[in-house]
Amino acid sequence: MSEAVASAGVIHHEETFLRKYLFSTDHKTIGKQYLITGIAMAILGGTLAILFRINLAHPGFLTNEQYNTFVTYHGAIMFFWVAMPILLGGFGNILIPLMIGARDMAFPTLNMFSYWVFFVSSVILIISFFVPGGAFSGGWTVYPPLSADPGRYLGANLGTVLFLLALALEFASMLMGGVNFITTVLTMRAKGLTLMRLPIFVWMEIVASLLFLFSVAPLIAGAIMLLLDIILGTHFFRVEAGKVGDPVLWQHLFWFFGHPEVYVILFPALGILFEVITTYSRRPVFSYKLVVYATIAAGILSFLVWAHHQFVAGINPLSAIAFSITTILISIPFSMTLVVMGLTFAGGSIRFTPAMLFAIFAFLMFIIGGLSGLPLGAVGSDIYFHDTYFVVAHFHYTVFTIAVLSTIAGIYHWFPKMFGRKINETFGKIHAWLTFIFYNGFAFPGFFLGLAGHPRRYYSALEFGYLQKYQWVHELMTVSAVLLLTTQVVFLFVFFYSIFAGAEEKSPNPWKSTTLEWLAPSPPPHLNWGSFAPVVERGPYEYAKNGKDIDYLPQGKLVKLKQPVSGHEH
Amino acid sequence: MSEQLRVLDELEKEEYESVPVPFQKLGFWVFLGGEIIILGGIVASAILFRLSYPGWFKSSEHTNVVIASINTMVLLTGSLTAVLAHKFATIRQWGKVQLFLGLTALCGFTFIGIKFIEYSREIHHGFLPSSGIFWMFYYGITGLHGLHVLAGSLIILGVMLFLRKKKLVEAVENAGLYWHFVDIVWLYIFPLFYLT
Amino acid sequence: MKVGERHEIEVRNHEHHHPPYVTIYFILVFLTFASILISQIVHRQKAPAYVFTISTVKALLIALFYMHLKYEGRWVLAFAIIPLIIFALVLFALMPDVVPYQKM
Repeated sequence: MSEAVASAGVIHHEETFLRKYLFSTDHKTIGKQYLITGIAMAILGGTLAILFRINLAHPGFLTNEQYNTFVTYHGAIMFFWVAMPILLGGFGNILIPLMIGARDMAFPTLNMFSYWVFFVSSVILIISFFVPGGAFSGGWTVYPPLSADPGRYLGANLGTVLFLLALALEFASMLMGGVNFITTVLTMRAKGLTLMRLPIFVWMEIVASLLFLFSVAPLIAGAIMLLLDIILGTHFFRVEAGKVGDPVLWQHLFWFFGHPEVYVILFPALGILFEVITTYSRRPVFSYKLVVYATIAAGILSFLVWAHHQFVAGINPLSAIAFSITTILISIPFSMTLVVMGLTFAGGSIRFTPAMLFAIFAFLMFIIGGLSGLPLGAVGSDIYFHDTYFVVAHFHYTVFTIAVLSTIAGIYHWFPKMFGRKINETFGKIHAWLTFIFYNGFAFPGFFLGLAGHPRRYYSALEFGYLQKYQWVHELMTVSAVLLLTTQVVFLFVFFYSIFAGAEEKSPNPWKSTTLEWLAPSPPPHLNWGSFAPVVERGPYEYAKNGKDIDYLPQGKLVKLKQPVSGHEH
Repeated sequence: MSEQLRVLDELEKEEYESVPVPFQKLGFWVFLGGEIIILGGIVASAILFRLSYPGWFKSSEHTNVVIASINTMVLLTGSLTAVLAHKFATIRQWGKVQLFLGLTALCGFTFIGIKFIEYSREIHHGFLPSSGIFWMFYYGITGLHGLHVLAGSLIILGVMLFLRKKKLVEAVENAGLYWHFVDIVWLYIFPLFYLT
Repeated sequence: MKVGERHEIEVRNHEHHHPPYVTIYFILVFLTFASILISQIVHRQKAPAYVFTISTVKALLIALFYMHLKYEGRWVLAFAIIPLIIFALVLFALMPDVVPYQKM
C-alpha cells in the first residue's frame, strides 16, 4: 500500500476541454465561472446605470420607458446577477474548501449544476430585455399591481414573466449553492479545525447562506402567486372591482427576503475585509468571538426588520413602530463588528497594498453608509426620506462600497493564489484612489439631494420647479459615475491581462497570511492538497507573534499522507 | 478520477472535523428547511386571506371531500411504503427496497391521476383560478403541492434506478424524507380546502 | 466514489431506530377518518380547531417517527424547527396588515 501512497502525488488525469473548463465539478473552476459571469453582468448593469445617469444629466437622452427599464434592470442585475454570484458563488466556491482544508465541496456535481442554472438565468434575463411587449420596467422590487396586471399597465407582459423566471432560476441556483456551503463547512473541515477556529470569511459565508435559505422562501411563494396573477388571472395582488387582492402582501413577502438579502451580500464582503485587514495589519481580529456572535445576532435580527422598507406604504402604524425599534437595534451588532474591525487596524504595522487600500476605503465608506441608515430606520424621519435620493445614497454607500470594494480587495489579495501571478501594485494603488474619489463624487451628493426632497427614480429633475436648481448636481454625479465605470473597465483589462501575463508569483504565501488556503500551491491543483492533508493546530489569525523574521504562525500545516493516518500525526 | 479519489479516501482514513450527522442527510435537511418555508409562505398567505374573507367556507363546500379523502389515504399509504423501504435498506434487503419504492411511486402517480380527475370536474363546473379568492388559493396551493408530489415520485423513481449502480442507504432515506414532507403539507391543505 | 464518501463508514455505524411503522399507519388512518367525521358533524365555527389539532398530531407522528426526528441530533432538528418558527413569524407579523381588511 505504501507504494500506492508514494505514487499518489498530484492528480493527473485526462479530461476533455469540456469537462475541465466548462462542465467541471472542481470548486475552483466553478467559482471562477461565477466570477467571470458576475463580472460580465456587472459591466452590463453598470452600463445601464451610466445610460440612465446620462439621461438624468441631459433629459431626453432616453425615452421614459427606457429609463424605467434601465433603472429596473440595473437594480436587479447588481443584486442578483453581480453581488450574489461574485461574493457567494465566486469567492465562496473558490475559498471555502481551501480555507477548511477540504478537497472539494460536499456535492460537487450539484455545484456544477448550480452554476449552469445561474448561467441560464442570466441568459433568460438578457432575453427578457428584448422581447416584444418590452422588458419589465416596474422597478427591481416588482411591486404589484403594476407588475401583476396584464394589459392594464405597461409593466406586465412577456418581459415580466421572463424576468420573474430568470429570478426564480437565480434563486434556485443560489439555494443549491447554499446547501453545498452549509453542508461542506459543517461536515468536511480538516482535523483540528473546530467551528471557533474557522476564518471569519467562512463564518460569514455560512451565516449568509443560512439567511438566504430561510428568507428567500416566502418570496418564492410570492413570486409564484405573482406569476399566477399574470398568467392565470388570479388576484392575489391585483385589485379590481369584485376581486380584491392585497398588493401590500407582496411588499411584505418581498422585503421579508429583501432585508436579509442585503446582509447576504454584506456578510461575505465583511468576511473578505477581515481576511485582508488581518493579513496586511499583521494583527489578529481584535475579538474573534465578538464578531461571530454579533454576526449571528445580526443575522437573526435581520428577520425582524423588513417592514422599514414599507413605512409609508400604509402598513399598520403599530407594526411600523415595532419595526423601527428592531431596525435601530440591529445597528448595534454591526457597530460592534465595525469597532472590532477598527481596533484590528489600530496598532498594526500596516502595509498599504492595493487590497488594503480598498479595504480601508470600504471600511470608512461603510461607516458613512451605516450611519445614514439611522434616519431611515427611525420611522418619523423616514417619512421624509423615503424614496428620495437619500435612500439611494445610503444603499450605495453600504452595498456598493461593501460589495464592490471588498470584491476588488479580495481579487487583489487572492489573485496570486488563484493564478500564480500578481497584479501590478502601482496600478492597484492608483485604481484604489481613483475609485474612492469618483465613487464619492457620484454617491455623496445623493444625501444632499435627498435632504432637499428630490425623489428617486424620477426621469428628470427639470420637470419640477423645486428641483431644477439641482440639475448641476446630476451632472456632477453623472460625470463621476462615468469616470468610475471607466476606471473599473481599465481594471478589468489589467485583471485579465495579469491572469495570462502578469508577474509570476510562485511562492504559495506571498502575503505571509495564516489561513489554510495559503498552504496550497499557487494555483491549487485539482483536489487541492495532493498527497498531503492539512491539519489545523491553532486559531486563524495568529499574527504579531514572537520572532523577528516570522511575525505569524500559519493556522495549520500539511501532513504527508501515510497509511494509516492517526490522530497523533505530526 | 474515481480511482484516484478512492486511493485518497484510503489514505485519509482520519475523519474530518464534523458535526455528528452524515453529510448526505444534513444536506438534504438543509434543502428541506428551505422547502418548508416556500410552501409555508403560500399557505400562510392563504390563512391570512381566509381570515379576512367571509366567503371562504361557502366556496369550500364545492370541493369534493370524498376524492380528497381518498387522496389523503393514498399519500399516507405512500408514507408507509416509503419508510418501509428505508427500513429494508438499513438491513440491506435491496429487493424489498425496490418493491416498496415502487409502491410509493405508484401512490404518487395515483394521487396525481386522481387530482387530474378532480380538477377536470371542477373546471367543468366553472370553477377557475380566477373565480375568486378561495379558488385562486385552491388551485395555487393544491397545484403547487401536486407538483411536489410529482417531484417526490420522480425522486423515488430516480433512487430506484440509482440503486442499481450503488446501494446507498442515505438515498433511500432522503427520498422518503421528501415524501413525508409533502405528505405533512397535505395534512394541512386537506382540511384547509376541503373540511372547513 | 465521491470525495465525501468516507462518511459511508460512519453511516454504516449509524444507529437505526425503527418504531412500529405499520401500527402508526393505522393510527394515522383512524385519525384521518376522525377528522373527516368531526368536520361534518361539528358546528363550522368550532370544527377548524379540532380538525387542525388532529392534523398537527398526524404531522407530529409522521415527523417524529417516519422522518425519525425523535432520534436525530440537534443539527437536523434545527433545520426542521427553524423553518417552522419563520413560518409562524411570517404569519403573525403580517396579520396586523393583511387581515383587518374585509375582502369581498
